[in-house]
Amino acid sequence: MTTEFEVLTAELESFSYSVSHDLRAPVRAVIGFSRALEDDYAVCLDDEGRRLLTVVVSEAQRISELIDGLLAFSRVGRQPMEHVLVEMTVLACEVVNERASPDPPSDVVIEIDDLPSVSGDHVLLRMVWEHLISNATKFSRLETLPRVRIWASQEPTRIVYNVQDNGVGFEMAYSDKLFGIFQKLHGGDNFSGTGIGLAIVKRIVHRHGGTVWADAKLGEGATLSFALPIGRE
Amino acid sequence: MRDFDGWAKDGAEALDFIACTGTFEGRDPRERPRLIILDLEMPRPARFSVLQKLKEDKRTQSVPVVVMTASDRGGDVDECYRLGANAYVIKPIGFTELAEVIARVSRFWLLANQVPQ
Amino acid sequence: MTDYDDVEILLVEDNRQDAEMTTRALKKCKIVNKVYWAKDGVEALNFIRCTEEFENRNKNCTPKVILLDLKMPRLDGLDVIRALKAEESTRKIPIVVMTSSNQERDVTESYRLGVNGYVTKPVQSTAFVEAVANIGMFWLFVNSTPV
Repeated sequence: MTTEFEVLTAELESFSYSVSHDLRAPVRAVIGFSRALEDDYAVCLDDEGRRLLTVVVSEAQRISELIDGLLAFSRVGRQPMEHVLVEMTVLACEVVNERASPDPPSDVVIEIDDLPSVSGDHVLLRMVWEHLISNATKFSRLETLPRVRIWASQEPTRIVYNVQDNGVGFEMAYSDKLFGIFQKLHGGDNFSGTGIGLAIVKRIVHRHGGTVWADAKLGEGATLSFALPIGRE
Repeated sequence: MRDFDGWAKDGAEALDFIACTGTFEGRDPRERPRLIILDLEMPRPARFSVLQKLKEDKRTQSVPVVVMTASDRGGDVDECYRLGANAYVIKPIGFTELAEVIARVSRFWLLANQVPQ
Repeated sequence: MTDYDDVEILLVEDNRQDAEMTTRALKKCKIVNKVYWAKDGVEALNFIRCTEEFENRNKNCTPKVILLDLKMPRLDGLDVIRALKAEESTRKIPIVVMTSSNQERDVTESYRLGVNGYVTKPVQSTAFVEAVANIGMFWLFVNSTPV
């Protein structure tokens, strides 16, 4: 006897699979054929024609990134969680050290205080750190002295972890949009990304029974915080 | 390609690697290489037995094995495929040719190919 | 000797655009070897077995590699693998799955049925061309096929 939950999960999985397989093929074709046009027929086009083609290619690539983001988000909600004691300081340090060299290179200084361990899914919590640290470094890299600070505070029933940067920040009036899917408060070419990272962070934290929020000042930086309950099995 | 694969000097050492015994005692059996390059002309034990053991053992069955050896005997090629080798490469004599072969082996098996978890 | 006899790559692909991009990619890295495009599993098996529309094909001429998509109408890719592995005369032809799916169950099952390799089709065209080139360079020029 399958429960409604199991039916829904199966439907979601089939939906994600459809997105993966059925959407990817036409996107691949659009990218492939427009690149073929670029490679072999750019000489037949004038500057404007070539520009139009470049837009087609880059928008098709954007669709591909959005598909990947959506799939990652869907996976995060479905994969089974394995609760272990996670050493957060070690994990955060690992994530910082494994970051690919950014382009252009940045000398962002990242300070990590001692962070209390917590019960949670190691793989998923690693993703949380990856997205928060990536965001923090991304938004502060334009500063002269980019700094990211990570610290935590222990409360009776929960531990609050904070990631603070001294970057562009944002207006608190829009803060509720921050964690939406594909929401970006900073558009344009300065800050790349699909805007799915914080939605993924929120979903993971909620699956742990926690909460996530942000605090910021436009022009001065932002602090992203997440709280995880203690004593959960 | 960051992490270099391990090098077993003969068949017995290769089998130790798989079984996590001998020199490889304490190795985590869940860590599987992405690719095994196997030379047939190796001391201990006999020629096809490493390949056979690799493909019989459930822990290593799914790891692609590329036989890379000097022999171009049709019988050897056939036997390797029969035992489950994923590919068979005859080692060229010249260094430049060998380098090119290794490059093509790496580009397919380490970049393009996907292995089950 | 018919046109089908010096085929070195049998491409089994139901999507016309993917087939065209694969052929272009092969031409781009100057792999001018004969490629035959079978639009589904049934056509692929007829080609290999030299039956139906391919009854005049020389059975001794086997391709060096079969590039096989998985999700196809009429006969699924996995069924094609099973059919090829069931016959002594076709069992040893190298098969590289080339498909959209990167689902673990497809990867595992394909290897369990005996494919030689598995490649997920990249969406980005440079990665796609590179993957096809890497496949071609290895399977056509480096690998030795059994007799």
